[in-house]
Amino acid sequence: MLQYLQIFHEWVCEILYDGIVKMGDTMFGYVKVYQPELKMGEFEQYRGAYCALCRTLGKRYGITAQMTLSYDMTFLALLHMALADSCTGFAHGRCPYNPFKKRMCCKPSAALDFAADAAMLLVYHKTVDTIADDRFVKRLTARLLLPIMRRNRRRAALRLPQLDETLAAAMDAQRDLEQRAVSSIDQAAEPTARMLAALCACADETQQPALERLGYCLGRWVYLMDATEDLAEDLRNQSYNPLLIAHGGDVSAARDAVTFSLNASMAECRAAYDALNIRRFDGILRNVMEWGMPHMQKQVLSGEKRTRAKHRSGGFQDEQSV
Amino acid sequence: MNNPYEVLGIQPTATDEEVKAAYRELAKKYHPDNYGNNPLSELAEEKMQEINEAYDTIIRMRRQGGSAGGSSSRYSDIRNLIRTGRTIDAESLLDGIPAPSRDAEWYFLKGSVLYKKGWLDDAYSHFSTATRMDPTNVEYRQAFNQLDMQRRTGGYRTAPGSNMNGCSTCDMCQGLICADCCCECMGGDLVPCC
Repeated sequence: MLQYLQIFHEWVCEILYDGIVKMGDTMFGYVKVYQPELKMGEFEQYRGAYCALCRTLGKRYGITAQMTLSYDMTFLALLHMALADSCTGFAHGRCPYNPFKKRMCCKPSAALDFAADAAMLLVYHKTVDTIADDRFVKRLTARLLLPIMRRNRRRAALRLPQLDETLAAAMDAQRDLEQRAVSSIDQAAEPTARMLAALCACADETQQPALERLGYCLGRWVYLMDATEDLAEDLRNQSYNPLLIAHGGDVSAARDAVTFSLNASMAECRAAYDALNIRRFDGILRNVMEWGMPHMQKQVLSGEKRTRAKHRSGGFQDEQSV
Repeated sequence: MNNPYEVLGIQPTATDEEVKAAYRELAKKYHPDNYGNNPLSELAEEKMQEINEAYDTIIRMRRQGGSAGGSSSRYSDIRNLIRTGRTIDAESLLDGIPAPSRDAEWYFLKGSVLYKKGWLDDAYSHFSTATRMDPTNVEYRQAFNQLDMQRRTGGYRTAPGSNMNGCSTCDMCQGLICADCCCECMGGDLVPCC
């Protein structure tokens, strides 16, 4: 009996995890800090931003939205907070899902609101994408969630109409590219890069060019990382992957060649970051770029498939510790 | 003199505004007022001079139309467009040049436009074509090397002096040979076999 319960529990977890939690990895979960190199104080601040984003999501969009909380969007929130004129500061609080632990939490700010709204737009598009081309179980969950996601997107689009348009255009461009089976890596990465550029953009005129560059190169890196990770799977399923087309289906050649493109994108991210006027959280953001991204890249390139179990230990357990 | 672009910490493809901004930033950092009686003031002064020279050189090069290597006037309009950040116009002008008459400079400029757009792979292949067509040109070589470095290392910034960590076997041999030479100059001998 217990055994069956356990199996059932695993199954439910899987559906919940694959269907909802992973939906929040809008940048595929590639953009996060590398904990061993983070200072204690910075770690505390990072957790604070993570908590605050969760709260903002909950307050604005409810519990389903909260489940899509991700490190990717935490990075985005931190980036915007780092550029803001004033710091809203931290407060002590308790997490409703973990009430025995007290923790620091960022006070509400425009950057957090922006990240939460942007997350809802992205999650909606990801849900639609999943329905279009994923496995059965995932597709089913996505279909069930679609009405909620659609509602969330509608609300978010009211606040960020321009971003909504840009994202929708990018998604269309992506689909179009896939249909035409474009072989140019630069061209294939363009929609994702544009998307991230729009997400990073801010109102400050002087920071704008560097920020856009940072977003663009980050998006490029994210796209290429995803393409690299999916190489073997895409070869098996005969699905579109620019790296496979460019290298005639040779996975290891594609992996060798993409390393250079990934490196160049990462280097450009850093160069753009250095040109920014960062007012706070410099250590955390630098950690993401100088440790988190290279570490993740090494993992993906070595072909270490981040399996579901691994995802979970990297996601769920981490999230509890965060 | 060092490469003026390296002194200012910018890329050869930087716009005039970026050059100015980089110069201003560095000038602020090394301004004599920041040092006063500080024992490092001389060092800062030296640095300041270097920055001034680098800035002047870049501006002079750009005024002459085209940087190092005395380029033809054929592309000066396009260079101007790139410099002022109007990459889309520059690209459409470049694309209008028929394929048979595309030379090394064309590939370099097209590479610069692609680089600005963030199309790093295509930029790399254009830069490499440009250097292959004209291996003597410093400007093309620099652009190529910079991107090549990024592609190989991912832009790990090595801290100054990090390549001299500790004392390797190589350093020791070098030291011994130097010492031997010195001794020999003075009529003695440290390492009898050489």
